[in-house]
Amino acid sequence: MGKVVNSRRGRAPRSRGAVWAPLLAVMLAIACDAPTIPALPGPYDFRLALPGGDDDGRARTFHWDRGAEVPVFLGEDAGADAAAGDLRQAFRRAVRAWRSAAVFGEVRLRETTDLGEARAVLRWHDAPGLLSTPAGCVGPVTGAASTLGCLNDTRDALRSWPRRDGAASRVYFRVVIRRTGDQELLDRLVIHEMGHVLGILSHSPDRSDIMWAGPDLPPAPSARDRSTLRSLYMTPVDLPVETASSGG
Amino acid sequence: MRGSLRGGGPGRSRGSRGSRGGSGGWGLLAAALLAAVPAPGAAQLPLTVELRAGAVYSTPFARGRTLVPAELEAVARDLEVGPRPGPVVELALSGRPGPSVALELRTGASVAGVAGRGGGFSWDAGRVTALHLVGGVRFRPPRLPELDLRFGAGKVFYLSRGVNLLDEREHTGVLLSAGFGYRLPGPLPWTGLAEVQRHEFDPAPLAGTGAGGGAVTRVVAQVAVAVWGRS
Repeated sequence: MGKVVNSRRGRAPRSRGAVWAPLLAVMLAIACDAPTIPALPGPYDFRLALPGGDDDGRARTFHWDRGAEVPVFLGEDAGADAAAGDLRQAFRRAVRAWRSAAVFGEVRLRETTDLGEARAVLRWHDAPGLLSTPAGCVGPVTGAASTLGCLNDTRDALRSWPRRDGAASRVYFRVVIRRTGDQELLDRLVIHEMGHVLGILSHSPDRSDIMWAGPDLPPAPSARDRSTLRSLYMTPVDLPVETASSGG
Repeated sequence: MRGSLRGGGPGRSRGSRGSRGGSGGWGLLAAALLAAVPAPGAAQLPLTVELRAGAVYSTPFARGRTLVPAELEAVARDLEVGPRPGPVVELALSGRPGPSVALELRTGASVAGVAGRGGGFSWDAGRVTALHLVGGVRFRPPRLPELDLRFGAGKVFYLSRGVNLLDEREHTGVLLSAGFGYRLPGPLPWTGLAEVQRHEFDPAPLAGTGAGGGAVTRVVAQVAVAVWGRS
């Protein structure tokens, strides 16, 4: 803010304009600047490529409502042992990592202990399953981690995973992690999988991005990951979620 | 979407920037000035307590830009996040060492929702409470006894809930202000106030995000009423 100099020097002001002009100048100087916006690298493709069928070759965009808080349920044994604590710690790091990536408040993750409100479930691969697997979206867990979603029968929306207890479900993603004693690896895996939960339904071709599909993940979302998340939430959705379904 | 992920190299530590402390003590300085102004008699430094209430409009905390992929729309979109207009209240203590000069110390609070905007959309992005403590001086120009010009400096302190940009932490910044007051006609000791406040805003989570911050300008309009002493 500029300095304001009192120039009266013992004389009465020449007019009221002499009073207002410095004030207006200060106020304009304060209000008219704009911040320099740093450039981010361009985004990679975040869309889900639909294999087979009439949609072959077509990619779909999914994200949660802008400004949404996405509740994630940590599997039922998550609080029972030391390994579960590791998973919770990794999830909390993922929450922070993606929160710092979505600085415009596009989306955020949070833990929930209420499966009824959860939109995703995160658990160890050998933990008891809470969800039934609908036909058409089964997939073996062959790597260290996986995030699975299911399309509805008409392949134009994500359907929810039915709960084994028959209650209504709003879970659209099931995230399974293989046990590891390497907390750092676990942290990176969970950050990666939570990127899928937030809507980045493909992988980055660049190994410096957290959404890279191969080994040696970086420790946190890169500038390109941030750019991709930002771009995703400015893109119209053409793969919405279905409304809640009852279990089976 | 299914990942097949293995390995994991040695972790790279990421630098983090803590909140800057800034030059604190502006409010204390003003309080010291209030106490130190030589006053031959108590009647020459009458103290006044004012309650103020009004509204505040704030420029965005941060601005940015994103590129929607070319095969979809091939457009760049501007983004911003910042507080919505909201109410503000203040409590001010002032003393008048001379006929045309007054010193004041004031503290206030405003609560507002935070909104993200971009691409023609707007969304909720949390809430902030902004507390401020400002020491200042008021000049009353000759021939315009109803008017005074006000300048101040102090600190602003943000508390947030659900604001990604602030990462669930508080944020402080040095605040400068300029404005004017006008004694409103009528039997009550009311004064209309308009002020522009400016403070730095560069929280740690902004680093490396491709979003520009740097400073925030707040425009405040209030009505003040003296609840003790004369305004």
